[in-house]
Amino acid sequence: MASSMRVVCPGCDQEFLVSPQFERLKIAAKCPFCEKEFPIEQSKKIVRPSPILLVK
Amino acid sequence: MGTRTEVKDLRRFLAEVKRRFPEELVRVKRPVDLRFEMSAVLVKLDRAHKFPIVIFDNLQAASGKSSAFPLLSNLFASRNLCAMALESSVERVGLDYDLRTQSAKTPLVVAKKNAPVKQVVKKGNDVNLFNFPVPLPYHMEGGRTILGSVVTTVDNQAGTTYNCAYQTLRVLEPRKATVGLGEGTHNWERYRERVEKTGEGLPVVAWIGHHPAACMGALTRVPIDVDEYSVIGGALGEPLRVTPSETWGEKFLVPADAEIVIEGIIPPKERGRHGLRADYARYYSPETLRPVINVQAITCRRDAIYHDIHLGGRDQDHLGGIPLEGSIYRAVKQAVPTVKNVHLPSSGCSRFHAYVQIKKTSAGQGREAIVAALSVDRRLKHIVVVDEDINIFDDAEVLWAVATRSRWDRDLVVVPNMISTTRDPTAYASSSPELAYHSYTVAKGGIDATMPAPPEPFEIRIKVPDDVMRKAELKDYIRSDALTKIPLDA
Repeated sequence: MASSMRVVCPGCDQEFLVSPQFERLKIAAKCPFCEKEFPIEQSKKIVRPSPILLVK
Repeated sequence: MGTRTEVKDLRRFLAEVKRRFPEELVRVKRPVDLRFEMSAVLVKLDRAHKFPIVIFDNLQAASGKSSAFPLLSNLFASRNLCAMALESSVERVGLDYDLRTQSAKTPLVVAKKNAPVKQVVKKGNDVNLFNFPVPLPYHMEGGRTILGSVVTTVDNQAGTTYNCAYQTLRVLEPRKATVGLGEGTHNWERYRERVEKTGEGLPVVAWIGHHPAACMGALTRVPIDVDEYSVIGGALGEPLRVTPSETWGEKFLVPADAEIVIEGIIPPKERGRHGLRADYARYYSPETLRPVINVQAITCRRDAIYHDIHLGGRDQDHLGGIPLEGSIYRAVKQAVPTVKNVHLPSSGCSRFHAYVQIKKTSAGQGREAIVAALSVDRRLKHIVVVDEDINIFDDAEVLWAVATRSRWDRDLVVVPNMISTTRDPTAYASSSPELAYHSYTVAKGGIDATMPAPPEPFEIRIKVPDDVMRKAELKDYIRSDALTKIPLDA
């Protein structure tokens, strides 16, 4: 998906979506499950979409 | 729920549904949890192919208390009821919507004392958005989003022009929310530069709950300088009644017969988290930064009904799709005068697919119709053009036309790199550092699934003679109780 990246919350291990805009502007991600806010680089896993072309 | 019957509002519409189609209005009186349970009921109804208006009477609000407001959902889920709202038919409702919204009616200003939405007025610390029964519909949503809000702005500089659009409000605090105003929306593009230059906040109103014709009228596609309160009057078939707001008086009029009105100010630079939420494409939309609205006042009816949209279901499909059908019809008609009808099916979230039915009179009309339709809305992606014998309200029949009347080498139109929407999961982003709405593109196209135009020959479709079909009633051959028991196939 071109408009979302996946991160894993370091607090509750749940996976959720973050806008690439947040990473670019260095805005903390906020977990919708446990409400923990954390810098995106602290995510347990980050999956970024290809910005130009979705490979399928 | 009594009201003056001569005014078109939500109450009058519900009374008419109860009188004409009582089986399409249900009330759920048992306690229902706003967190997922309410959505489960609506999703199960969708899966059963049943689309009644549902009123939930006993809900727990986000504040933790029992909600003082009943919640109404699925207002648009039945195409039959949408047709009733616009005094049309199931087949023609999109086209009639388009015709009605072109007959604008100047709004009628009424005194506050005659405006039902002024029965309760709350200002300052009495305002609390958490008192509304705002659902948490799907598993990954991290907060409460008001979905049934028609966000309205007014331009008093060049006449008085109101702009309206359904835009989400993510509740952050009792008096603060983010508003889903994006680049490219009239409400925001018109004013952003001005408010950022002057430093003054943008007055904004969000109204919730009205006659469905008024709600759909807010989704019309008109130029930015057209007053949308007048267009809503066209959709309603009578002038929209408006009344002075609490915050700006006569400078900002609000719908007098809405259920709820939220008045607020958008500060020029402040942005807030517009949290992760479901969207019309039936995926999650990631958290984004959006303008903030500081709520000044809330007014409502004494027994106000909180109107919510069932995202991911027919409710949102028809709300967005029916207004678009008329716009596509009008655009195609310029290229192919013999266009008969247009349908945006739920299989394309009523945004991505369009079925266009034409009476073909010459070669090339199928491709003309595809190109004309594609330019109408950035969300449109696939156009299927069929002949007039195809029922465009039946996906299976449209796909049968594709199966038997199209060829991939000759009947396919593909246009690469057209403007798309962030909500198309296959869209590709540009290399621009700012991933705005305009930064997304995708290939679009269509299939000409029509037969050759006369006098070219084509196979003849099988059919039972019309007079025999008209006479044959199943109840005359199979007992009705036995007929009812036969399960619906998938």
